[in-house]
Amino acid sequence: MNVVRFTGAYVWANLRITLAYRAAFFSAVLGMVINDAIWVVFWWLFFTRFPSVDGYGFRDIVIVWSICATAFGLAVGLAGGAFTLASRIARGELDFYLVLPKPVILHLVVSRMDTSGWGDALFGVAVFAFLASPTPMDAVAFVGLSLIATTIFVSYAIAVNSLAFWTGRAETLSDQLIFGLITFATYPEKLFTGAVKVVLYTVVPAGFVAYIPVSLLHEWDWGWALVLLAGTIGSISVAVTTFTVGLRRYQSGNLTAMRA
Amino acid sequence: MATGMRSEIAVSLQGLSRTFERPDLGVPIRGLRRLWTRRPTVEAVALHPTTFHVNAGESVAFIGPNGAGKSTTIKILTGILHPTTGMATVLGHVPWLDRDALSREIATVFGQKSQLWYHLPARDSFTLLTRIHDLDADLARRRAGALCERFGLEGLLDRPVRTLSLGERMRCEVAAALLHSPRILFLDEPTIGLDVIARQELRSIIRELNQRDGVTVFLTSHDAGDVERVCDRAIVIHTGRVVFDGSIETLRRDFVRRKTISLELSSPFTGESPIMSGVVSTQLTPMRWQFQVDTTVVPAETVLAGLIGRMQIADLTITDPPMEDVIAAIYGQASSSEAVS
Repeated sequence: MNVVRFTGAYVWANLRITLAYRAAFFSAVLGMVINDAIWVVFWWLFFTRFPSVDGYGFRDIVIVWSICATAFGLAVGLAGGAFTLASRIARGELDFYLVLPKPVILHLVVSRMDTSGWGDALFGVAVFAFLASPTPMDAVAFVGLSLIATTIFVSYAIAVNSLAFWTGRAETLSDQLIFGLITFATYPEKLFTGAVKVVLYTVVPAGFVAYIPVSLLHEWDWGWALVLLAGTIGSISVAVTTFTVGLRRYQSGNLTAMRA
Repeated sequence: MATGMRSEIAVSLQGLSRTFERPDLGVPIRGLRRLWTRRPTVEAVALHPTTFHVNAGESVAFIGPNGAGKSTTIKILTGILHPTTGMATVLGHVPWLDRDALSREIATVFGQKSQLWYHLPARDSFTLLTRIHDLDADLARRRAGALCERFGLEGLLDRPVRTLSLGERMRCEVAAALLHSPRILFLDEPTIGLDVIARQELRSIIRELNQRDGVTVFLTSHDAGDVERVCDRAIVIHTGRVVFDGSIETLRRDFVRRKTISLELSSPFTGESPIMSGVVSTQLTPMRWQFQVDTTVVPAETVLAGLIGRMQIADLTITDPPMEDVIAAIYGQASSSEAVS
């Protein structure tokens, strides 16, 4: 319960900072909505010409985009610190959090908020509501599956950013891996086979972020739901282990820093 | 052990050391081989095996030149860094293993790193720290009110931190660090960049915390005023080794072997300027003289005995060198030994 109140206090503080610069906030949100909308228009044009790609239709792409946009938006909007971890490790900026109670990874993850994420989340929910023709049960499943995908995004960001403990600089690598995850997640699964598919359920877990959730929204299957749950627990474990082991290698730093 | 009067040990280090690996830039690797050749590493010692204890209620200055190992030590003691070898306890906790419990009993203030949220009023940082430390909201509000009154923060708490002066911000920083009533306060160059008045205010606040509330103070600073006005004991570290551990008075008296004898004469001295080996004499006015005595060459008593026989003395004072000179001497020794090595 304390952890929930603690996280809520951080989110509230981040929101207050965000709303102190309203024009920047609203322009970032609007910009991201327009950016996402362009992609959906692209896919709409594509499917008007080729109605099905190996069984994948426009509604499937809408569901993929709505889950990915909502999950990624919530991940960077609520836990943006996970995505900036590599640069903060490299700059020795973990000191302040290491002298405070509560798990340091929790501090780091919720201490930052990327306002553009709220544009993604808003877009994802709107697209699902207006273009996916959901039933009430679909809506419930959408919320649950988006939260699971959010958890996997955050865990993945923590794991790949924590590579900075070993490499010193990992911003470029972690950004590429995260963008790779988003890219693979927003294309139809049936485009990928063989070894690539193995990669998409392990190193770049697009399967857990998008493919399984989409298939569950099509047709609920308890077996796949359990696989998704196991994948989520696995990704959290990998993230926490990578960060905890890496933290022993942390070298701090003496940069002058403000908590902006 | 120098000035500690209480028996409870607050901080204890036993052979604590820290080394870092860094690439050996002296090994040339040319051309494309840089892409696949792993550069050999060398071990850099940030802290040689170090042992000392600090008793509860003490106010200790931990001083030394840049790169001496001060910040490394303070970061190990606060749980930020893991040591390479040795053991340390702070209030009975092993800092790097028991970080959560320790952080509820200590506070850390870094002069160069803010713990307040830059865009928010300091009051919001207080609220967030209340949640982080799981403090009772009413208790925290009363505590914040008391700190606000004591540190003169009225009118500051509701302004965004970015609009505060450095001195105002540092007072807010210390108040925020004390919200959870810590038993030890670690301060890493808390007065850096502050003006004279802000420095004096902050020093008196820290001193009062130590003397009135019994908070153990462990301070690093390059500022002689911080050392003299806040601390009773000094631990001097030099290239990762403790080279002095004693009272501030002993440090000033013994580290720089120099005394200043100042004389007020009852009648002008018209003779030859007294010349003695190890003594530099200066006539300030016809009635005032000053003698810098190198006590490694000649005892101050011998110099004084010689002067009493030759001059008509109305008043005299013998002073130790100012702390600035002591610290400069410490740093000078560090530089010269680095140059030799």
